[in-house]
Amino acid sequence: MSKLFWSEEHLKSLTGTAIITDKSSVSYSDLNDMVRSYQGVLENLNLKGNLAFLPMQSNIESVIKYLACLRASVVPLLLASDLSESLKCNLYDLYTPAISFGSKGLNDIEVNETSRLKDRLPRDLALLLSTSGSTGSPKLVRLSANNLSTNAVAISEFLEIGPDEKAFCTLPLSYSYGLSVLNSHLSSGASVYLSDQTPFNEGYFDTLVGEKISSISGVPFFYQMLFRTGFLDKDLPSLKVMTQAGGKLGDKYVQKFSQYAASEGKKFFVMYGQTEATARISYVPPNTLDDKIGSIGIPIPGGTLSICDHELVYEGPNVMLGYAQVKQDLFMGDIQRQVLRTGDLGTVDGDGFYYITGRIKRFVKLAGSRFGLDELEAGLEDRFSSSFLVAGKDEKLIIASTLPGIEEYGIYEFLQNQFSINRTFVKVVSVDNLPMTANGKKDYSVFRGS
Amino acid sequence: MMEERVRGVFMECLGVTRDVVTDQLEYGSIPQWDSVAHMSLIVGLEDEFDIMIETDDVIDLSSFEMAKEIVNKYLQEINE
Repeated sequence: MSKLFWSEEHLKSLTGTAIITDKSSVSYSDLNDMVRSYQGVLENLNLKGNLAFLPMQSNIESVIKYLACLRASVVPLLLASDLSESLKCNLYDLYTPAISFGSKGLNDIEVNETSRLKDRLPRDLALLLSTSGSTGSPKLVRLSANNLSTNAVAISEFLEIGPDEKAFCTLPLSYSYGLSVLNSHLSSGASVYLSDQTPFNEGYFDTLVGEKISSISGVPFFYQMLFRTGFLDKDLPSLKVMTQAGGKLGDKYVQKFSQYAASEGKKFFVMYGQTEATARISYVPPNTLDDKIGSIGIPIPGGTLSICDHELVYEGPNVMLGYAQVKQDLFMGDIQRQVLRTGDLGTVDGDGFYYITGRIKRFVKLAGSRFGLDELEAGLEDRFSSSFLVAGKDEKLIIASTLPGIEEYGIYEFLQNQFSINRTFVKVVSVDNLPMTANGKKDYSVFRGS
Repeated sequence: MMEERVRGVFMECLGVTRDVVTDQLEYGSIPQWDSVAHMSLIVGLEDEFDIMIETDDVIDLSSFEMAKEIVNKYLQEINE
């Protein structure tokens, strides 16, 4: 097993600043002390092998809780900090965690004695992430300590993260991409500035300059925001690395940012990954990007990619143990055996660079966040007691409804309140009858690509 | 007149009712006005008034009041 970035041994060996926020910062040595003392709290409560719900905010307390759980063998499900109460309750009823961390500091912890597990969770289970954090999907990804550490090390290797780096992480830590920024930098002894800011916030560029940030990371929409706010004309001497993942960035933008990086002596990494592979699967080496626009690149160190029946298949030590859909599933061992059928259709060119050509799985990505179409459909049907058909492709959700008068039924409002989906992403189509296939199933192909 | 047109774009892009769009309404102050809505707001205002909003103004346009001021600035430039 490679180095465990949360361990006493590792954190103790590092110097300098670990985590920075708008309000405070903490050194590696202090972080290690705080994690140790919080680990003690968890151990005194005798919680080893139990399940915890952990809302992840962009602050130091969340990082301490997360690292202490890993050390104390408490298995946390990382939740989006803005997850709606009703979605949180659904998850709570389904998984009945023994521990609920609140969001009001380190002492905000609730232990439900009746939910303590008689049999502790399997030893190799370390962490749970939702396949679609924003819909509070009950479908979870089960990750091991080895998954976390090997992926962090591989990322650190191909991004060449050194101890002097300072990453600006504006992605949520409950999201595998955001978490991977944290993990890989802790693994390298580098610093991470945690923040909820976007390039549309007035302070964003001041932080970039003032804090001498050396790397930024974001989903495709983040790069559209940077472009729109004049990023390419700004002088940012300390910035060395930009990474992009969480969906396909348009070729036009890749070209612009690639040219910008080349002329400014910076590196722009286009990457691909899935929560099912802890985070990262492949990347395009920046010096090849100009010739490989549209590609998801080559596998990360330690992994391999192949095409099987047109489907992209990844193998590596960062492939999850398996999914969980109900509590009992948490006790299943390693189902995947390091092999992941990605659900993405792909091809490979003569240089070994991979390309995604389509998707088998039923989900859509909106501004980088993944939404299960079946969950949205079920949510709508439940709320409005009517039949819906939810289809879509990247950046657009198409909802076929038989309800008369979409506006008065509040479909947009429901999607905003329940799932934080902005109406810009949503197109509601009124139909007399939902399209059906010959064997009586909803026919999603009608709206595909529209 | 201009104010009503700006308000209309806000209502459309944020998916909110008229009473929500006051001078005090700021970026991030309601869940509907997130970064995604902000992008569509910028495009919406450009389309509505046939203007090109410059990069600095994209960030400065952080309240309904500022939106009116910025749109007004562009409209005056056109008239000059």
